[in-house]
Amino acid sequence: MPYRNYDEVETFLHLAEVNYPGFIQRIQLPNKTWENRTCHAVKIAKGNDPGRVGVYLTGGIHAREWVCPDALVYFIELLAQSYQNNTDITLGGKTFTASQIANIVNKLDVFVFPLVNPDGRQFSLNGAVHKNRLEMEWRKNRRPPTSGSDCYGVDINRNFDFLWNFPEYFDPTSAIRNSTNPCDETYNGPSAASEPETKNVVWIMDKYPNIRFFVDVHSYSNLILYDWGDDDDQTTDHDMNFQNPGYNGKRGVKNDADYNEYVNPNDKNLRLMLANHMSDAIRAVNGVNYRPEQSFILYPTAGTSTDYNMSHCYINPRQAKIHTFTIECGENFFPDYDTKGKDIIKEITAGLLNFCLNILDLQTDLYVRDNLQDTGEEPLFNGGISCSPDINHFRSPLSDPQASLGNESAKYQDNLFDNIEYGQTNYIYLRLQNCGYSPGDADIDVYWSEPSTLPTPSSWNFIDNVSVPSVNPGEFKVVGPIEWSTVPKVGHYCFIAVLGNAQDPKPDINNIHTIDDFHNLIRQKNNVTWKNFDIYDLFAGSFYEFKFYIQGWA
Amino acid sequence: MSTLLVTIFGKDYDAMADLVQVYKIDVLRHTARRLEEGGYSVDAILNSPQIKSLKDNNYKVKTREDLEKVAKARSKDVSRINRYKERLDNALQKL
Repeated sequence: MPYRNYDEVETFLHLAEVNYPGFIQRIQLPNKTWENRTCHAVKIAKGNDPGRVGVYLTGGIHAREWVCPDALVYFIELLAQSYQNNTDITLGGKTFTASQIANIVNKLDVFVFPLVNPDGRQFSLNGAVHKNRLEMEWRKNRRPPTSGSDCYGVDINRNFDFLWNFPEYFDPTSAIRNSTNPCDETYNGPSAASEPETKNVVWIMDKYPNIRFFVDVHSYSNLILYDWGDDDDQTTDHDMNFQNPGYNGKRGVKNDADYNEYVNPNDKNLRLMLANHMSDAIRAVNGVNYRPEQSFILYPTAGTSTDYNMSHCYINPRQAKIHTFTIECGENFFPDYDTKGKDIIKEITAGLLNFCLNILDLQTDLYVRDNLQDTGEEPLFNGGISCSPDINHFRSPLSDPQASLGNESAKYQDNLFDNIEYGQTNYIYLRLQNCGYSPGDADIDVYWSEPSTLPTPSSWNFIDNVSVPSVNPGEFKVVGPIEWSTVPKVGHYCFIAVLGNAQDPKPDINNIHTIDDFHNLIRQKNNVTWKNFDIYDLFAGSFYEFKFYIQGWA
Repeated sequence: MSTLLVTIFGKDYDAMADLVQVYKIDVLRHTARRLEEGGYSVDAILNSPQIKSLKDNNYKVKTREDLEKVAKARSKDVSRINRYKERLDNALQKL
């Protein structure tokens, strides 16, 4: 059984769509390769209910890594057959039940782009046909030589727009494996995302914003890598990150304190957990150990698919967080298909199926924002904590609160409220989101407090409780109104909203004893928020005394 | 001149960084390993003069594969037809 060529991969994807029309949809990529090849991916999903989490798998970015596209073709084939026939999948010592497979197809959107760089693959496969070692070892795409060079190709996995212009960003002494020389194997291209293959990978990511997980399958090394790849990571200094120009020229040196890339500790734990579960499933197939490790081992990189996809949500905080992985499969580039290749393909398939199953086990993460920069990340790093944009109050009820407070423009405004009026019923609306990975209900308590009693929750005044049946991942939900008729006298006060559910419980407000405890809770937990407000009495014929001074008058 | 897939052993991180910065070796970065007995290793594709140069500078180099031989052996592992075409044609006819 030989490795699949470009025509076979493309025909297979077409066949999969024809054979499994109820749950496999082919996606044509918009950019043809330099040798005029058209690429397709597939979306595997039954149903299109909102809130489905997307998982995106790519392979064949590097031409000589022969086994990777075949592994993804096998993954599609096996998943489709099992779902269609309601049968278990057994891969060596690892079995996935028909019910588990049905859950993957019924609940996730799985995007598979098995052959990103078909020109390069065909060149490498032809090298073997010609018994030409140099052709067979080809890594890059087949971009024709640019002026001043007679060398072909760009390394697609150095061409993504993440620290792409590496000489500006990295320490000159770093051992970075990128090059600006078109003749080198790791040539990063004439500009960021210059290559059609790079653009195709990005296009899927942009087209399907529900994608939250990305795995790029490479070979070789028997590793499961989680990001970052530009430097050692650290979990304490949020400002030490790839966007901060203050660290230009300092990145990429192993074991130094000058620069280490920030990763949220919760995200790192999640990635490590998912990598470990992938590794467990792979080991169960044939006993082969794939070691989970941070992508930066000894040699830093820039412009990789995984770092780019993960960086997106930091550059654009309105985009959901994406967790990215690289699998380095097997122990060489060209394993004999029948003796080694088949085993590796089974290992990768088992690892990816387990990865999907583990994503289904991930939970809801409800949050209300403390400020407009707040993305639900814990702890909160940016902006104030006393002016939540998600507690909105009006003197009369809104006719369509979701449209008024949840439209694209309104989502990012923090001035959508009326002054609270004494002596009448006021109407409170809350805006909540779910930055987790499964739908969840929400139970919300709303309180008001005098500023002096913020450190003593027992003195807070309960306004009301409201329940929401379900909030989908990525959904922006407007809840309310809560009718508030027992408004205190004119003055300055605070709202506090606390929400949660069984998966993502409400924080324990009884642990607040000081104002620092209160501030820390707001910063540490994304499901409690605070807003200062004033109560007026403007519509009851009241009179107020306002003092003012005019400069220059005695 | 043979071209070989090799594993290079260096005594410390600086020695491994020098492979890229001084000797301009295209290391296969994800094969880098910290060794239990101390030092590091990484794989690379090298020719005989490159191997000699590294050995002269106190690197240990272990050969894994002769890529000329691999190229000849893998010729049988490459599909030269389209094994799915007939199945697709049949499936399309049934639509």
